[in-house]
Amino acid sequence: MTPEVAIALLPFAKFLGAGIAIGAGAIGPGIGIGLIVMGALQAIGRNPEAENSVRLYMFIGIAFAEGVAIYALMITFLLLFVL
Amino acid sequence: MSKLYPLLRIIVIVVIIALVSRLILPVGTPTLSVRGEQIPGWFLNLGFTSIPITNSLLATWFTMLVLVILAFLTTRNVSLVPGKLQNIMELAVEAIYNLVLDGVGPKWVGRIFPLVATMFMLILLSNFISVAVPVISAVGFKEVHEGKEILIPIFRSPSADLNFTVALALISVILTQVYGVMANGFFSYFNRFFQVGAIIQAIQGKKHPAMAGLDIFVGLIEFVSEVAKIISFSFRLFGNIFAGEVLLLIVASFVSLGLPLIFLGFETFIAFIQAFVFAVLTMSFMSLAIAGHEEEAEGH
Repeated sequence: MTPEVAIALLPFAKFLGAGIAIGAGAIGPGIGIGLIVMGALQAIGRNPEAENSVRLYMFIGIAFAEGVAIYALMITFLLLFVL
Repeated sequence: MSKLYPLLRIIVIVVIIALVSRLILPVGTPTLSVRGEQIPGWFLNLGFTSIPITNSLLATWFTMLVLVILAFLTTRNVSLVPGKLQNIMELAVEAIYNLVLDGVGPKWVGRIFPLVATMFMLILLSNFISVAVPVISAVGFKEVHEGKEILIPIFRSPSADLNFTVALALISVILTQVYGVMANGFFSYFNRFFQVGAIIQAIQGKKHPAMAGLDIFVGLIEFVSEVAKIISFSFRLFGNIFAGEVLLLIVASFVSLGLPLIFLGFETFIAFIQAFVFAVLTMSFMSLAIAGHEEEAEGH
């Protein structure tokens, strides 16, 4: 591969990398958030009086799981706009 | 089918409106910028240096102004029988107060509640600015940049600027350490990260050296996770709000009527949830920091 071809392929690689980063990075947090909400709903179903505190911890857990997806999103933004 | 029919009709009408609006009201592709744009020619002169004023800084000042005016209007005539505004604010403040009271207990609520409530309100308002991004990003200054004429919006949501979120994350994490030291004492708090106590116990022969080494390792991991909090706090808020802005702009550039409404509702929800999550995480990390010593005392 000559240097000219490599330079011409750079934007292509950038877009491909950005797409793969967010696409693959969203799999794990998606499963994680699903599991968290499943657990929370089961807990509420078994003990409806605990709904308020379960909801609070559910949102905290979702925030942690979602943080991983946000890291992937940051990589995507880095690839698209900064690098 | 008879139940579904009105819903189907609404969906068909929305799709038709969306398609027609695509033809009649075409929208250009939005320009996106990860960092806050500097407003041309605006500087804050401090004598020895001058700070460029970005549009997110302007929006932060606007948010602060709104909060101050709101606080002034609410507390101007406080009465036992609250008026409309006072009633709403009392409801909000009381809800946050009860949350913090449940989280950190009555001894620390006086110190932690003002911080958490202020963070919540500031972040909530600045997130709401980001929901209005399809309107806001159309108002601004024109500037010629590298031969192209670009529009610099006069406002940009503070939460969509990394400077704002990193500042908030630093405040949150550093104050967590300060409260931890205030509650547990300097050595007993930092012993959690750099376990000098384990080394001393190993030398005295009260603890197996391997266990002491494990303790030290766990402490170091704890320290790393403390530093990583800054990154996760700031990037969570920034990523969510900036991604929301991008989503709104791109949806609005596909279809200008109808469809963006759904996403506006969704982003309003996200704005609230992110402010809530930031405040609640700050609170729960602080409650962990101030409670550590008592837990250990109970354990032994």
